[in-house]
Amino acid sequence: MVGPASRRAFLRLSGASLAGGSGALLTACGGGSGAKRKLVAGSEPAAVRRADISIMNGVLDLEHTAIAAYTAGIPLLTGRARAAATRFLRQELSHASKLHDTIKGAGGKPHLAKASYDLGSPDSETDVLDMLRALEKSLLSAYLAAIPELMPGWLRAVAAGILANEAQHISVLRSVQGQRPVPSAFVTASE
Amino acid sequence: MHGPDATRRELLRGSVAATAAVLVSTVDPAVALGSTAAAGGGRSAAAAGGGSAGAGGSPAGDLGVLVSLLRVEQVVVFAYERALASGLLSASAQAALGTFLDHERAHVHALSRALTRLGGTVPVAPTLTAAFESELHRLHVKRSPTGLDNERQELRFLIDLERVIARHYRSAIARLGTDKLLTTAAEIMANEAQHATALAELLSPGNVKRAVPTGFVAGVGGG
Repeated sequence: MVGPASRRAFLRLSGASLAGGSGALLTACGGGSGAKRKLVAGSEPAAVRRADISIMNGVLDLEHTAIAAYTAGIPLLTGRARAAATRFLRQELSHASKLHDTIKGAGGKPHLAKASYDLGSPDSETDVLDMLRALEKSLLSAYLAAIPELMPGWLRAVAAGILANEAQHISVLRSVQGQRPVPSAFVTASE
Repeated sequence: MHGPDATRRELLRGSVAATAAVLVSTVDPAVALGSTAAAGGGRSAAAAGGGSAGAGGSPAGDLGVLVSLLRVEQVVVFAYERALASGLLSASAQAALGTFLDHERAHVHALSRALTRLGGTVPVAPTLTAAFESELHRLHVKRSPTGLDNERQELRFLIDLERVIARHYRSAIARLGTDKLLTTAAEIMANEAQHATALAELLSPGNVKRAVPTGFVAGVGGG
């Protein structure tokens, strides 16, 4: 039986393991083959400003937190919830990788994952799903705030593509919890 | 020297950093969201009022983009109305599509209001199948709505259409200049992506790979 304290320790440990491992994963996922990286870089003008780097590092911090939460939470999930969370973790890693590469490519210093994250003490599948939804909502909020502030062009488009993906995550998480998957015509931080 | 844009960006950076700090310390939804809630309750940012020019854009330049988005939304409304009238849908699909049609109409309403505010004229919506199909061709929707004869085909057509629509929004977001229009476009794009996910779930229940096929809706590259 795992009590709240030991579960919290587990979550911290998982976050730390993830933080240690995500660099390798990010590198592995970071843009794929050299040819693909070249193609992507070729379609992106180098007009990334200092302000854009700062904004992207802010959302990268949240992506790192989401990665830690999915990594720590997946072992506590079963069935459809687990399958969905596993897929979403991969997608969060790809977001972090894209942000990391973009910041670095623009001459900035990408924020790294922390050694550990205090993710609370979820002790049921419902708790974990609630935690993941809260994080996804925060990502929605951050991307919605970031989009008008980013340089017009491809950078905004990339942020919009990630925002829409986070909205899909919330939709599936809602469905897994027996709620309407698409409750509103406008996706906001309130889902 | 700090202009209005610089100041706003500084505030945003502070807001995002504060959000990250809150999340690292606790994941209590109430606390985590307390300082970050955007326009809520299903009300769009554009519907909330006018807007200031975002980084590098101009309201005047948004007119053409808005007209283009409205034409896209009018096509989607037609598509959902057509599917709902087909008699091919199960009760669960009928209910879901009815909700999504309401969403699409809300998008048309919000965009029409924003366009009118900028002095533009709302385009005429297609009312005949020929005009609808012509618009689909213009939007490069590959799957044809002609001859669909079961629910699965109807759902596949709508999923394709929703994905094409998301690409149009992504492109519009790269070009729009007004903050509130940008936010509204992003809110709608995310909603269209959710529609595609929910439709895919109807088509293949429990298949998350089909429901959320990629981490970057409408592509990862530039523009």
